[in-house]
Amino acid sequence: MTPRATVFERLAGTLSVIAALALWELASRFVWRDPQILPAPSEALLAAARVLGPWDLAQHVGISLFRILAGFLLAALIGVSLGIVLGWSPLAARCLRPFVEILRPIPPLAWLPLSIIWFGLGEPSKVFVIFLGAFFPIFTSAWRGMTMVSPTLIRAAQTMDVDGARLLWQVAIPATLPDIAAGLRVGFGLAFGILVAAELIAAKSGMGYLIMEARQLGQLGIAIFGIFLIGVVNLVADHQLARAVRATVGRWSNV
Amino acid sequence: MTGRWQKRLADAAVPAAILIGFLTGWEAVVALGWVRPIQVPPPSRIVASAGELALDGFPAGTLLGEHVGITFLRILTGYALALALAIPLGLLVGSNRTLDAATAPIVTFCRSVATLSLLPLAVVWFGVGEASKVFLIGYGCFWVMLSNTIAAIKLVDPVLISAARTMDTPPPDIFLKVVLPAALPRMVAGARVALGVGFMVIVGAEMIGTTRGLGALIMEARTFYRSDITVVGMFVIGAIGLALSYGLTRAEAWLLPWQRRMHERRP
Amino acid sequence: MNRRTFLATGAALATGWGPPKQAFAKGEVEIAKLSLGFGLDPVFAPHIVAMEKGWLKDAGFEEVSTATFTGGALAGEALIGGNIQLWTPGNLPPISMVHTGIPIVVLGTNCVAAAADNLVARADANIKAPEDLYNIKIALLAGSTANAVLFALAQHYGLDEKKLQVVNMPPPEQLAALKTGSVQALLCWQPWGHNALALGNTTLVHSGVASGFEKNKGAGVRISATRSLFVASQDFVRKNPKATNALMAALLRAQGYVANPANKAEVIALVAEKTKQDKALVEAIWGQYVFDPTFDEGYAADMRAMTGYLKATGRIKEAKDPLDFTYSAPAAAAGAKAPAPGRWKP
Repeated sequence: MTPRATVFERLAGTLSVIAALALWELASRFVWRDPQILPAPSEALLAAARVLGPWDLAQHVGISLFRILAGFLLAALIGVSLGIVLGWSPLAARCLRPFVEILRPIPPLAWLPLSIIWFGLGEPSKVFVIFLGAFFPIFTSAWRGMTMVSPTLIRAAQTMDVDGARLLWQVAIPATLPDIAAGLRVGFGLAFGILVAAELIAAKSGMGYLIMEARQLGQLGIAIFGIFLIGVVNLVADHQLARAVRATVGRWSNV
Repeated sequence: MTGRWQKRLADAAVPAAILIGFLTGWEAVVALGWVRPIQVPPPSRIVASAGELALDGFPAGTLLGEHVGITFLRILTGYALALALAIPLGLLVGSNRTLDAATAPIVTFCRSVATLSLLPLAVVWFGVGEASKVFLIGYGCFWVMLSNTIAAIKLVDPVLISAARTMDTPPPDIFLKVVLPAALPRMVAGARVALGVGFMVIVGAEMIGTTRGLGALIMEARTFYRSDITVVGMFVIGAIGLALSYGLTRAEAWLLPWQRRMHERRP
Repeated sequence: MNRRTFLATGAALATGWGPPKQAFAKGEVEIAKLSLGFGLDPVFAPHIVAMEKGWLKDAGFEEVSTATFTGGALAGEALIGGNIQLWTPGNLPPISMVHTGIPIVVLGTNCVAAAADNLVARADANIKAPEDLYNIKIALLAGSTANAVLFALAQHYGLDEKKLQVVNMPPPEQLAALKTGSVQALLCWQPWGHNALALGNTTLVHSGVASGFEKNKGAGVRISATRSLFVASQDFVRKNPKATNALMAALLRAQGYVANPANKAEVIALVAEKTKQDKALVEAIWGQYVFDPTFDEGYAADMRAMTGYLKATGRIKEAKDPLDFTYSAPAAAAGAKAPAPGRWKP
């Protein structure tokens, strides 16, 4: 990963984003011309600027980030551990995977009432919903990664008398890291995606709350701005996550 | 033959035992009053409500089977469309460094857009018929499958590609016979996650223009405070997802017979 | 008589009620923290006023907070879970709850919101007679009070409600669908009816209380039984009788203030600010809400109408009489008239 490659990547990324935004703006002005269909980025920004000061914005972003990080970290911890355990032990997999698979497809919106009754109206219930969103991709990647560790690698280690716990910690898990990394990034994105649902639980601030409130008040421009905000914050946070992941996983991965 | 059936039975015994123990414990906990039925409806109540759903329907007239069928169709359509678009696109983008770098921010961005945020837009773009629901379901599936396919291609062991090159393999063959098979396992895992996402968004997707479907059922149950029916709905969704997941595992075994599991090599 | 009681009596007299039988004594309530379910809706005017004027604090609640839900039945779950102590829904959800066996009780009417239900259609849909409704798609939220209104409309005008094409979706999407023409009419509470009319090229086909059909234009036809109610859990009421009385006293005092025409401008400004709505909008729809806590035949009739709707659409099996889960004593103690009082006792 030469420095020149990273600069090039960033340039390509930025250019394409600018191109996409420009396309959207032009299409909104000249193709459909109706803000009800899809407001232009400029309109969305103006609408939001009219009601949101920088301090309000910072508050919304801050509280949402807190919820996302809390839910994501919980999901990462439990998801990776569970994935590794179930990937390593076929018995554990047979016992526990059905539970995971039966819970996976359940929509987080369906969990909302139970979440309120179990965890109340404060942060815990929102963090729980976000956890639910991020957990499953993380678990699946960790589990699949474990089961797909090259048998050759395992046997090679075993011929060098590495077995049992050492085999797990020093061979299998490092080999799984690229998959875990990929899963973490997908889970992170989903955590942002779930934010809106989570903040339906009596939230008074937050990016998801912003979108839902704008929807209630018929302000499509602000709703679009909110979607944008979540996306941009996700991009920035994901970039940081990718850097952290690359630092730990290193040369095994180019994810 | 008997050996295989015996093994199957033994394999199923432990998880079955755990499941039975779990359900019994659940029922007991509610019966003993440690947990109020409002917090968690007991299995007995859930089974009774499931019966009501299957026979009387909820709202009256719409049977459980109908809800399941409609949702299944919607998810299948959205999922299939999403995969049909995401797989070729993912293969293309994953193989090309420039494309990958260029599209990465857009993919990450779009992946984070919540279905609920898209509701007003879906109505305007696709109306209130089946199209808007399929769109909402497909949207979630698409971005997840795309991300996973791109990652699957990028994570292919470079050693494999170098080895193929040293054997003078023409580039299309390198892709079809080396890269693709190597990426397939992760793509199937991605397909599994994408299917999960497809289910996850159905409550939001079925909020528009329908009162039939498992997602709509859950909203209806919520509106009328039938938490037992909500739980039945959740269970049914989970069960369908579970069945599809195992189906996917079998499909995977069929698609990738060369993929040896780590376990099969460990003594 | 201390100054506080004097002022309280004066305020009560000014609003046309008798003096409250209970003085607002501070520090006598069982709980210090109060959480109210809240929403971005003009019906929350009494709550807003009670909080702004500090009457809830005067009643003895040291800490008053709100939990805002942007639509959806989640507030009811919060009530059951004990996270909020007062819930202010339309009259349909609490009736559903009671019939599912959840122990809640209605403490009184917040306001009669029948006039706030509106059936608005596109002008190009050409709705002149009730039968024209068969030809169009009507957007409304399934299972809501709006659904009950359509049901009553069909009954009143002899339409077969099964033949009406109802498209289910939440209010914001109803507006978008009406605008793009995916549906030709919507039936909803405020401010959605108002927003629909503001789109232009739309007509008011029928409101909750008056007809817009050609044959009986302007005639008073009451098809809506929608009310906004004060609801609490039976557990809470049993364990905290003083708090319940104090809460209702404060709310009724605020309700009287809101109902008083002399305070209209101030209340509208306050409501517009706290619900983030346009002041002109609130002013335009203000007259559609009647803030009156009286437990009369009208209350019982509205509640029974809603129960009837639930039974007719197969959502409940055995109808319960609404007075059996109405507890009118606290409101009556605070000055509400109760010619047909509730029968529930703690």
